[in-house]
Amino acid sequence: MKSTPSPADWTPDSPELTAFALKDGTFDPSVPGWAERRAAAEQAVARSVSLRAEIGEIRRMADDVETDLTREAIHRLSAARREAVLAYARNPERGLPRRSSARPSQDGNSGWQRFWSVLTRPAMGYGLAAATALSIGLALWSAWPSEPGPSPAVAILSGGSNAPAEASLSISADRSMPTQATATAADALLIAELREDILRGKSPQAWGSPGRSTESSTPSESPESPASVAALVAQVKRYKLAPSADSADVLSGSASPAAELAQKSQARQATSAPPATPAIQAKTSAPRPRAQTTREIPFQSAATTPRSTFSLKPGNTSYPQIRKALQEGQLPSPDAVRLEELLNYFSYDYPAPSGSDPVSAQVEVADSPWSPDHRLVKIGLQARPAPTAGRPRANMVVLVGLSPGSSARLSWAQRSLQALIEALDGPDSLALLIDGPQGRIILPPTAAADRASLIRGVGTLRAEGAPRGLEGLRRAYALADQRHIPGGINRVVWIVDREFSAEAGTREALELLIREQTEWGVLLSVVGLGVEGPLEPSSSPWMPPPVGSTYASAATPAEALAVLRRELQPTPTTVAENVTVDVRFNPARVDQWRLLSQESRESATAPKASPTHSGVQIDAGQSITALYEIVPTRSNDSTRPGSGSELAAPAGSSSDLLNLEVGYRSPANGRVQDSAESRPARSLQMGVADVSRSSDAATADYKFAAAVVGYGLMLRDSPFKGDLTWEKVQTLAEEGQGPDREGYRAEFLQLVRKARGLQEGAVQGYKPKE
Amino acid sequence: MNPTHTSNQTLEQVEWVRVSMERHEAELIRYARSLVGDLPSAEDLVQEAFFKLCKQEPESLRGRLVPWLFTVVRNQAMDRHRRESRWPRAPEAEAAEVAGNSPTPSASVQARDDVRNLMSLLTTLPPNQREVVRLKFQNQLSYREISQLTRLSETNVGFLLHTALKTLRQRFERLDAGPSVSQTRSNIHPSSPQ
Repeated sequence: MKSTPSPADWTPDSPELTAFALKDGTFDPSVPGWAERRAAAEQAVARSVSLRAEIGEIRRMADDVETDLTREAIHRLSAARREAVLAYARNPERGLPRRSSARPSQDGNSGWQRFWSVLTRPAMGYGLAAATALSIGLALWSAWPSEPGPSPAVAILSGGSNAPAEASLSISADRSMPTQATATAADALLIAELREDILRGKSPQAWGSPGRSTESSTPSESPESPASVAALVAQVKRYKLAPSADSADVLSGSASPAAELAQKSQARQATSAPPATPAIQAKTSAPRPRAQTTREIPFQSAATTPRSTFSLKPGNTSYPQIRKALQEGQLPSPDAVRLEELLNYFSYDYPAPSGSDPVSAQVEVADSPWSPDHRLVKIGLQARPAPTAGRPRANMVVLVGLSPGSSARLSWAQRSLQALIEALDGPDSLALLIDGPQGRIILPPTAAADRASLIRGVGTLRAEGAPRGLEGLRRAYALADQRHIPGGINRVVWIVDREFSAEAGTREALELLIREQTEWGVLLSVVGLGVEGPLEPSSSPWMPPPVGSTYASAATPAEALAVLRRELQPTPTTVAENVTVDVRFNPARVDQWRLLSQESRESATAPKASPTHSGVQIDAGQSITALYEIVPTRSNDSTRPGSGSELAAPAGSSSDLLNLEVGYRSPANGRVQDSAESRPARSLQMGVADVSRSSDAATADYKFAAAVVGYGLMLRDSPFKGDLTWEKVQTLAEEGQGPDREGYRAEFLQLVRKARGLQEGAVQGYKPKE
Repeated sequence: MNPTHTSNQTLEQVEWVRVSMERHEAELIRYARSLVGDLPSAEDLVQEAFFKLCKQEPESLRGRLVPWLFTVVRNQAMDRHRRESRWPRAPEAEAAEVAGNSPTPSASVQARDDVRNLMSLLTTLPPNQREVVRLKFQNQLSYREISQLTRLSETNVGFLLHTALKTLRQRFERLDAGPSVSQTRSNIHPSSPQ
């Protein structure tokens, strides 16, 4: 690395200042010597008002650019392209699929001709050719999931014996897609599928479900007027572009129904009471694209940056992703490991708030298990629980849309439903129907008092052909209508799996249906069984788009149970709004601090002054946990001269380590639209004294939280892991098991062992291929 | 070759490729598109990169999979450019299609309004600055990764980013001075934590 000007010589125009502001380049914590450079830079910055102003400006611009760039449209590879890649991965010797860099049409044409001459050999028979045409149609459909309307490819099928080469040309003309790429991809896909199906002795005619082929050849048969659908879709899409609570607020100013709906559903989706709902993805808006490379937040100097905050809504995808990788015998990508998400996957035991406060805070301090001269501070916030008695009556309809052949998932669904029945009370009702060609109702709305019938109904559940989506959902809503309870819990639970894909041309009608019913008071929950990570309705070709409903994925039976049980909860009540967390470190006691979390757009330092920042609400029963690692000042150093201390906010008592303040407003009683400013802001404050005690003496919850974060540090091979070892993580996890009523902590322990085995194996020269 | 006879290693390899595609295809397509302009060509480049990935050993790319994929996409885009002299595409390609799959022009126009100013300012930057800005802020690559990918020195990357941010800021401030734009400026900063 070239020598760069020392921070003392920086001007507001030094490129190094940008690197410092972005914590990158020579200020990337993984670059040797960064700590000294950072310290020098912080000193220089603390002395200069203009540098500090410049840094603020740089960060603001960077945030803006990042926000806008991450809003750009997301495209994924078409199913056909992906399948072509996978076919090649399965058998690289066969060579790459044919393709050419010449202009598509001619070359694609000849490719298709060659391809068809293979497939339509007399020996293979006419039926095979027809089935092949159908399957091309399906492959092409999955290639453009977001473009409803008639598929030219389907015309091949309905036309019967069109010349294939002509068909391929018409496709390229209609879709203005390069024929060559589609052709080669579909080609590879078909050959792979053909081979597999023939090997399984499956008749080729069985490929397309009858429901699909007839439906797709007569597209757009929904009764709704196309114009109103288009207008609605436009409206909903507009809303979906708004990535955050605040932009939803901006939109709601126009009082558009979509925005209002968004706001209502936001209130609803904000639930994430950890005991019942770990790893549940509940969302109603388009998912914000995630940062692909994540960095841990480095240490900050308490002298220059005494204030911090942490996210009240950490994501929940990291833990399932890691589990999936480990279960597949792979170490997860370090990018997938997000410390704050791991930490909040689990629930911890916090005392419920007493008195009139809606939220309680609990803080535990001990020496860091990986750097004994540091402290590890665990902060837990717990919202007042929802009143237990008096749940409104529930009218539940379960639509099972599992693909045939996934018997494991079916029995898994059955077990979850049985547990759901256990949780129903006498006056509640449950109906059950299958989404398939017949759309059979296997259990009409039945009172929960008749438990035997319910259990019998669940026992007869099976998959009956490919799920259809729209038709099944219509029937489910019709069943829900039969027992509609005003003011009660009216909910359709739609169970799907990874294979599910909404029928071609029905996505808009689905959107409309779901929206109407949601406004009518029948809520929809889509549950993806065996789906790892969040359901991303807007980007998956297999899901209808979201409109005011919740989406949850369940990768394990325990998660499926939690999801279904949650659906029985009434709409969560907000106990506090405009919640802000302000952690102030006492520079007399704290030299440096670090939030154990990945960096994100929202900065860990200092809550922003902007009023739009304060939109976070907390729902009944919700809890949030954060861990800070603290480098204490040396004891003889506790009265330091005021270098840079003009930035330091006054902490409480001088012996306190930190001061925690949770600000909030009590929720509006009526409409959400009430002005927040009309209600007084309140806050909860506590000083936290410094304690030096070994982590061995800490509570089980503390040890477990340390184990979870330690596991993340090890998986990331974090530069901050100190002298942490797998041995230590395992011991902490074992000692931190606690009562573990749902078995989540036991599962974690298994994952720790697995990760340890893999990582230690890798160090000893593990290679996945010889 | 019979798929039922494939070894565990092949299965692992296939799974690795599948997971890599799932995780990274979207960001790669976005990047590729900023290089070549149109979506089908971008998809071609990305598919090609994944074909290449099939030939790699997972172990050999551990910890550097993302930069590797970006590098392959970039090199292919360069090759294509050399062949077809169409690098880089006209800048308007960058500003286009913020709204993605909006069905009607009016919906996407409206949707785009919010981000148009900053995005169109971005297109006024020189191509090398634009690329570095994207890699840093859209794909979250570090200076070092960008430097490996673009074969620029890290200092150079830092300089480009610094200059780009500064230029954007100055131009934005100039825009901001005009009354019609300041409204939009406030709209594009929801800056909420969630």
